[in-house]
Amino acid sequence: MGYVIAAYVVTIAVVGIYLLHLARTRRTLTRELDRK
Amino acid sequence: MTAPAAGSSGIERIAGRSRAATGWLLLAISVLWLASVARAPEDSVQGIIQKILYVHPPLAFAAYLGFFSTALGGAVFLWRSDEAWDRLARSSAEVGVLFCTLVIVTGPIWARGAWGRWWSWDPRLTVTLLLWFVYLAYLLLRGFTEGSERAARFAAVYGIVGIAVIPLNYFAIELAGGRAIHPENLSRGSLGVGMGLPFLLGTVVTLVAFVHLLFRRIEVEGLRSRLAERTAAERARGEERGAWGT
Repeated sequence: MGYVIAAYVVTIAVVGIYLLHLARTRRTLTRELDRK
Repeated sequence: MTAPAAGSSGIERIAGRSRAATGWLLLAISVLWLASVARAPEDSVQGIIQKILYVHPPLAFAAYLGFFSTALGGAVFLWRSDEAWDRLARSSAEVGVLFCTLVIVTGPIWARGAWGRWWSWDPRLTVTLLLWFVYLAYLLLRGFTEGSERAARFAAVYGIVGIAVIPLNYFAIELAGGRAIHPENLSRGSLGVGMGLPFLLGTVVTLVAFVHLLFRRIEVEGLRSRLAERTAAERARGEERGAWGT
């Protein structure tokens, strides 16, 4: 059971962290573009 | 929510407009998928570890899609010299590598439970690792040659040639004959009763996740490109003023 949970948790966590990273990068770039 | 900027390409406009729709769709199907995985029956041979099947092959399908999209973006970029297609290729490669990384992580977790060891130099595992390295090298190449059109053209050719590894990966078990220990590719009727729905939902979830992540990545790439253009224009104006001042 532990291996199954690990596989799903790792997948969801990695996709979630990548999404957060993209959202943060988009906000930063939008702010920089607005300033220019 | 920021509206897609004027001057952005067609795919960037679609990406910007569909942000909320793909995000909510992904969340909704993910809940259904996890519920169906929890309710799926245990496999009589492998036991509960078989439930990793509902995430591992769908991740591989998304990785394949990412690399095909890299090749497609690269091919159209070579043909039309439109940078939007190069941005699609680059974004697809990054998302494809992310999914391929998850294939390489979830596979050994299943192997540890099923085979008792994390890794085996089985043909399918070895070619998956090769596929990951091929597109990781693509990302490194793009990272080290930021803004170079020549490098973008080289990367486009590399991305197209790289997809030759995909059929090799998919048919690795058949090609290896009896030497492969990785389970065979799924075929019609190979899943037990109650296992089809979680597998189907898993495939749909990873494909929606792929589209959502790709669109978000394309947005970032488009913003970077516009920022670079504005910075270059500002610098040119500054140099022009400097030249007039002297």
